Amino acid sequence: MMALLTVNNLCTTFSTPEGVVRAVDGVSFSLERGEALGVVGESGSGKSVTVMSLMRLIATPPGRIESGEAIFEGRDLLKLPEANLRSIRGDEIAMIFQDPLTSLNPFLTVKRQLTEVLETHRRMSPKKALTESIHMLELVGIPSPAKRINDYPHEFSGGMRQRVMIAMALLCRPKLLIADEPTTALDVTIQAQILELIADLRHEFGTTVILITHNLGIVAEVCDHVAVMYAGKIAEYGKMGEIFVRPRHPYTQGLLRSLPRLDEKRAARLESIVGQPPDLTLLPTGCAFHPRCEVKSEHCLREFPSAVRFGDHHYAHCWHAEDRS
Amino acid sequence: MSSIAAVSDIQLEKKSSLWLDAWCRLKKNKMAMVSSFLVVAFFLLAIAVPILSPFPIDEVHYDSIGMAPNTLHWFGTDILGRDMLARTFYGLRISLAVGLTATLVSFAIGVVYGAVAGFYGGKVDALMMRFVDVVYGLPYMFFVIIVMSVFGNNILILFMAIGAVSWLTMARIVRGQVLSISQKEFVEAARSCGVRNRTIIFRHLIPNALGPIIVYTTLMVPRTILVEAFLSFLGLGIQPPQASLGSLASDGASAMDLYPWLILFPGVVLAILLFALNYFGDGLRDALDPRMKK
Ligand SMILES: Nc1ncnc2c1ncn2[C@@H]1O[C@H](COP(=O)(O)OP(=O)(O)O)[C@@H](O)[C@H]1O
Ligand SMILES: [Mg+2]
Repeated sequence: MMALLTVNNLCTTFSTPEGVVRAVDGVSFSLERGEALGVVGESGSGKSVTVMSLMRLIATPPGRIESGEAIFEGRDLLKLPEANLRSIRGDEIAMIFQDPLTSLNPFLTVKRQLTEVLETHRRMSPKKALTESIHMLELVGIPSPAKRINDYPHEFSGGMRQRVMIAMALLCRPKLLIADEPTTALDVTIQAQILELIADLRHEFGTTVILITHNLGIVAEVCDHVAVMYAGKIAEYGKMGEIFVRPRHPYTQGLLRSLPRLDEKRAARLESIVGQPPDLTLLPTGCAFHPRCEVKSEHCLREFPSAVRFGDHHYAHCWHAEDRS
Repeated sequence: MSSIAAVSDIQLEKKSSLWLDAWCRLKKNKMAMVSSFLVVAFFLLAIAVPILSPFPIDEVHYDSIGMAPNTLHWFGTDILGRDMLARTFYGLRISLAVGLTATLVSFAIGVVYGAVAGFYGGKVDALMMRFVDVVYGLPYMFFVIIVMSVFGNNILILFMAIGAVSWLTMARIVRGQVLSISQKEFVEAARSCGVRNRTIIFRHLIPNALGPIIVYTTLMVPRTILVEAFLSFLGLGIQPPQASLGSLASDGASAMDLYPWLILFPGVVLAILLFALNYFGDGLRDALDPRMKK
């Protein structure tokens, strides 16, 4: 079967006073129907810009999609006329953002914001749109949805607000759901509930998911594939299980070491990767990770590593990936 | 006691919408409340003056020329024997009408213009705002006076001339607001849901900028009234037999030494009106956004 989404060599730049920043630099991946892809990396690694580019929601200027293609069911999202794209957004591809408080309009009731989506894409009668919205709120676990739907966003708690956002995203039963750090703004117990909800709904609707996070632990709960991003590039890509068991890129290994583990008896001090995420205006030569890398060699300073494959669906961009299995 | 206060505070925080908060703050501001009562009173008087006043505005009485204020004519009469109380409130009526209409015109133009510029940003924004800057640079009064002298002293032209220049500031304010609101995630979220640009501008952006828009609109009313008064004072505005507070004051000024009440009453009413509108606008600004306070 054809992949739902195939991204090839996506490059997005920003013109800043410090110079042109390559926020996304040659990202390629492919998503099968029903798959859940986790995109991980420290903040600033280009995760959001990648998905915003797919939706063509990059503010231009300062941003610009330089090159690449994103084939979604045979259509290139990056070349589609704006009007066609608008009918895809929210209908076939929906998004959930990090902060549910700021992603809902404080001046409109939840009802208005939910029915707006259905009106835009489905031309539903107001009554039908309302019934549908209430039903969706119920599915995402909002108690007494028929009543709460008339409330304003600030009358909901953080977790409930994110549920509203999820309901809004799923209203049109999108084929692809993009969640950009959906739990970062929430506290830990709520985080778990929201992730569980996303995982449940994903199976219920058969939705394909891209889940962005800077926490590999979260990926483990929902996703079956992982793309690790560093400085605008995919450093390593593979099946969830393989990445966790046999990470090949030193950066992935570092991310994994910084996870708290349940199986460790003593509370070992979490190792975090030494050094700072790179300044994109002053990228190091060769492999951008080399200043923080423990295994770097002279080669890493000179040339960006080509992909080293480990089976069909696992690759890492590291000159030393082979020796570190 | 304090814990009860704290609890009710929290409930207030949760229950009250932004508007309710603003209303509570406004109620505490005595000057603003007094001003709003005055404004409402003036409005009602201006509307009801034909019913309340026993004297028509333009009835000439040669037997009561230039009478000082007395029990029959509270504000005295003018040199044609017309009752000044009636004329003052008729004048107020015209002044308010000019102020409101011109404000409405500039409100409509300014809000849409500013919102479009702020929403699209980039080149569109640069071009649109450069135009505003250029018009802004023209001497304002000079422009209005030229328009008035070219197209004649028509009240409609007066409305439009004043409205056409006062939308500039509104456009700037709205554009600034929209520019910052556009950065907010809910606008991005609306876009990611495929909502049309027009809907985003009118349903998501403008309502969120409503606070400053309302405040500036309120403050624009006295400003346009003052402009109208000034133009009428120069003889460019309202023409007799119609009268505005400005043209009344102008008439009164020419006979100031003999009949001082002719300028006194329209002048005082104009001053009170402007003070009240300004205080109300300031109060509204403080209530809607305490951080905007200068
Ligand atoms: N509006 C912008 N203007 C300039 N640079 C930007 C803008 N948005 C993103 N960037 C650049 O893109 C990089 C990646 O950003 P982003 O994709 O948001 O990171 P994250 O992985 O945390 O989601 C940032 O480090 C920044 O340099
Ligand atoms: Mg991000």
